[in-house]
Amino acid sequence: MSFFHCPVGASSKGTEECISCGMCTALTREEQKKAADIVRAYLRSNVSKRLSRYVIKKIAVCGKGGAGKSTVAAMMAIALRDMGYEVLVIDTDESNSGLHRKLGIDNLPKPLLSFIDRFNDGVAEDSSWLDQDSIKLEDIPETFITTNNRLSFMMAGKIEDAMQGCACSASDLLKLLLSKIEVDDRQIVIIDNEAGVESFGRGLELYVDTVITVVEPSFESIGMAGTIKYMAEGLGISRIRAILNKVTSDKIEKVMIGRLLEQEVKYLGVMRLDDDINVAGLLGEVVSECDAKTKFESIVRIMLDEAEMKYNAI
Amino acid sequence: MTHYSIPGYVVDCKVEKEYYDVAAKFLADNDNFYVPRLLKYMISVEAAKVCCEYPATAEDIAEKLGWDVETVEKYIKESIVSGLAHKNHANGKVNFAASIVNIADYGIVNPELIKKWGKGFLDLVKGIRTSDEYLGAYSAKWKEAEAAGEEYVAPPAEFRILPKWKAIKDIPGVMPCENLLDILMEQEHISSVRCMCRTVMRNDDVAWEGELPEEGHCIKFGKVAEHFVEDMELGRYMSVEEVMKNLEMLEDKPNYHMIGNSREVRGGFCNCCTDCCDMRMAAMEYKKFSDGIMPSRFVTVVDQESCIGCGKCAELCPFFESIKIVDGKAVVNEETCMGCGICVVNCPEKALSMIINKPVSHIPENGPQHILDSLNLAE
Repeated sequence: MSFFHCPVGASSKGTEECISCGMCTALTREEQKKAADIVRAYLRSNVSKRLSRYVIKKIAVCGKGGAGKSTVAAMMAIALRDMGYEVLVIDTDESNSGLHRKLGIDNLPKPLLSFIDRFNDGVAEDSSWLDQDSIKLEDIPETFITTNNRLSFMMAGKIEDAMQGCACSASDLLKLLLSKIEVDDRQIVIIDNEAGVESFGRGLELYVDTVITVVEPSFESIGMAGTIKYMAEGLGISRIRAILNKVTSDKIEKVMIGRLLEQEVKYLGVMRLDDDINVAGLLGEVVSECDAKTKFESIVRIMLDEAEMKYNAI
Repeated sequence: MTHYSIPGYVVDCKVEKEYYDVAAKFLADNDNFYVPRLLKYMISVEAAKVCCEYPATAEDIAEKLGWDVETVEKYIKESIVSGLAHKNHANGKVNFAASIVNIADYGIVNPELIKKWGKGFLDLVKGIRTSDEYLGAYSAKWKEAEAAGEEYVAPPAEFRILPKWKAIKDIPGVMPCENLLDILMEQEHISSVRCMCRTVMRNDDVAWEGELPEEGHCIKFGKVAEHFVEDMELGRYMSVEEVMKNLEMLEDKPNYHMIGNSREVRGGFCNCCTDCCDMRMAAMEYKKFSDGIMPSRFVTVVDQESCIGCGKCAELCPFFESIKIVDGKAVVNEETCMGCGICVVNCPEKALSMIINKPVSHIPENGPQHILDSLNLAE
């Protein structure tokens, strides 16, 4: 409760919180109206300051290999895009990428690894656009980003030849990119993280604000969720949420939720093992309208609720 | 404004002109009868004379009245400690309260002052707060609609039930402004004082002693906490852990959390006993909250298998018997359930949990929107 029902809870007229609206001393209707106008103007400017504390800008989707993180990342990107957001998906999986198919993107961009000559047939691509202090989505050269209807796609790079050596530098490039990307309130970046927690060791998550961990019904998967939460918190990320995937019964759902909560991992929702999703995956297609897609969209709305973000970004 | 009707109230003293002047100059709800009398209890005539010069600095007032600054500062302090005035630390000016009803929040919770002002003062405040005029304001529009045979949809109320933290902490989709721990962690300062409502409504010996959980009911944040601790010298700063621990002492009692109804959390929050909150008092007669308090976004659901029908939930429910035992199992009335979570955290079988049953739009985005609405100041 506020002091004298002060609109902004200021304890004293004229202290830092006081906006001098005059509401506390307004005696006539006229004075109240004038005060209300000042309050409204203040609210309009203040709301965005508060919301910036919670807003989701860069999401890392993690999970044990096979848990379904690429599917979740793709469905999340499409759901957010359908809600009016502009979404950039960054594929960091160096060996198993089918992510672009799940997004309905056929023209692959050049991978970030192209900066390094040994991954690009001996030719290093131009990397000067990475030298700016801040990079807007529009600033990324078309060579490295494919865009289709507010859905954009970038790749860290794939290892095609076993002799090319390990891809540690791809991770450095990714961190550089993530640290410089500036997104506005209508844009979101989703990073499909490599399976496992390896990436955390490299500090990648210093550059995201949200970690979604995809959990399937196995002891290891749930254990990993706990580890991911522990590591992410250590790196200063407070928003870690699980999505339960490939669940086959009410009982399994109940047990999984119980185990997750034991490890203090919060969850956003539960996806059942679903034919429509599996068939789309097998055929290398985008998941079409179906019950499972609708269910997933409701889970994305839960995620937005927790961040006080709108379902309609336009 | 007409007088509140306090049956049996006897005017027993002369009220000096200074009190009428102060009431007229500053108090929007001055009724020219009880209000000056309340002021007479709270401050000396000299202090009232000083208050008449607000907003002003001590030096300004000293010059105007021809008194020395030290004396003026003494009376200024008297007015601040009584809860009637506040100082602008930036420019040194002191200003007076805008409403007598809310003044009570500040002076009444000072054990020393209450001993000084006495039961007569508390009787008067209680008389006002339980009068038909005062309580009736909370249900006036609801009654009007009912009389006209129309359905009444309350606008966003000034307060909202905040569910028990343990009952909702793991639920997907909980907003930061609904999670007590998130709210506390964000605050720069937290302090706790004795509850004003309890002091006024109980008006018995219990209210005169200060001891947790008696003391820990009223939690203040930010600048308001600073005002209490530093300006009024009441209560003390507390850590998040202390507050959560103190609240645990209330877990098995029907004390519900109540907070300002907006996503921007300011001021503080309450932990209301069922026999003290005047808004609840108003609503119980009409079987629902109308303009005083909104329910939370949650309601309780019962796991039929685990429920053993012990009745603990029904015993504790503070609102309209929203959960009862029917044929040996707990049943929730979702229409009246206010989503306080008291039943959930007390179920011995863990058969109760909460679900979200209202959209995020249920909680107004902006801090004082509800105040603007309640003032009926449409754009």
